[in-house]
Amino acid sequence: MSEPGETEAERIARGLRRKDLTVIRELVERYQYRLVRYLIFLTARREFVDDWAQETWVRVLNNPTQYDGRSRFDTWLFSIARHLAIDDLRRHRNVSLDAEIDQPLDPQSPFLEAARNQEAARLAAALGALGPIYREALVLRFHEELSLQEISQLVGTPVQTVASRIRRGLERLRIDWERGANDV
Amino acid sequence: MMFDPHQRARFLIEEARIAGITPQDSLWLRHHASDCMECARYEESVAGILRGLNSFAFELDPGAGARVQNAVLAHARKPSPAWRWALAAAVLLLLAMVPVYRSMRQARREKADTLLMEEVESRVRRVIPLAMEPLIQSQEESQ
Repeated sequence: MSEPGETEAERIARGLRRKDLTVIRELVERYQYRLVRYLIFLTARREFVDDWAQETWVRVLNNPTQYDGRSRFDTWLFSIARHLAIDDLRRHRNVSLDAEIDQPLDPQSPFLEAARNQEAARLAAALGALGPIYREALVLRFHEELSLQEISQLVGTPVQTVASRIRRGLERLRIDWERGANDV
Repeated sequence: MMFDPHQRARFLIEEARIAGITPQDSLWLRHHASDCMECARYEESVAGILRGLNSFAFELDPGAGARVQNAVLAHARKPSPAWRWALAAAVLLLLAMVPVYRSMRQARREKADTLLMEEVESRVRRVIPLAMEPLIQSQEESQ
C-alpha cells in the first residue's frame, strides 16, 4: 500500500528495501512477460531467457538499495537483464551479440514462434536478420514505450544514437516488409 | 532544412512515432499524404510494421513462471548477506568474550580471597594479644 504523497516508483523502492513479499510477487507478475520479451528481442534466443529472467530477479532482490524510486522501475530491471544476458553470452556461451547480425533466421526463431498473424509472420524473418541493437531500440520504444532519454540511459548511448538506431531498424524492416508485399 | 516534400513527409512519418512532431508538422503531413499516394503507402507500411511488432505474443512456459516466482520468493525470505555477516560477527564476538570473562572472574575471585585473608589475619592479630593478657598478668604476679 502506498504512503501519502508516495509515487508508484517510490512504493516499489520501499517494498524492495523491506523485502515485502506482496510487492515482490506483484512485480514478478507484472513484469515477467515484458522481461522475457525484452530479452528475446535483445538476443533472438528463447532457450536461455528463463534463466536470465530468474537471475535478473535475484539481482534485483540482492541490490534493492540501487533502486531509489526516482526513475521507472522497468528501465532499471531491463538494464540489469541486459548486462546479465550480454555477459552470460560473452563469457559462458562464447557468443557475441554483434556476431549474429546478418545471419539467416533460424527456423525455430522465437519471432516465428510468436507470430500470431500475417503481419507478425512477415516481420519475423526480418527481425531475425536485424542487429540486436536495432531490435532492442525498437522493442524499448514501441513495446515498452520508453522515451528516447530513458532508452539512452538504459543502453548507455546518446539520445541521437538511439533515435538513429530506431530509424535504421524501421527502415530495414520496411524494406523487407515491402519486398514481402511485392512477393505476395 | 528539407526541400523535398516527400523526403520531409517520410521523415515526419517516422519522427511522429519516434520522438513526436509538432501539430503544424502533423497538419502538413496529413495534407501531403492525402495528395501523395506514395507517401501514404509509406505511412501504411510503417503503421503495418508497428502493428506487426505489437502483435507478437511470446509464450511463457507456465512451469518456468512458477519456478521463477518460487525462486524469487524463497530468495526474498532468506536473511540478507548483511544479516548473515552481522550474525556471524555477533557469534564470534561472544566466543572471543568467553576467555576475557573467565579471566576477569578469576581475578575478581583472587582479589576477594586476598581481602578475606587480610581480614582474617588482622582479626587474629587483634584477638590473640587480648587472650594472652591474663597469662602475662599471672606470670608478673608470681614474680
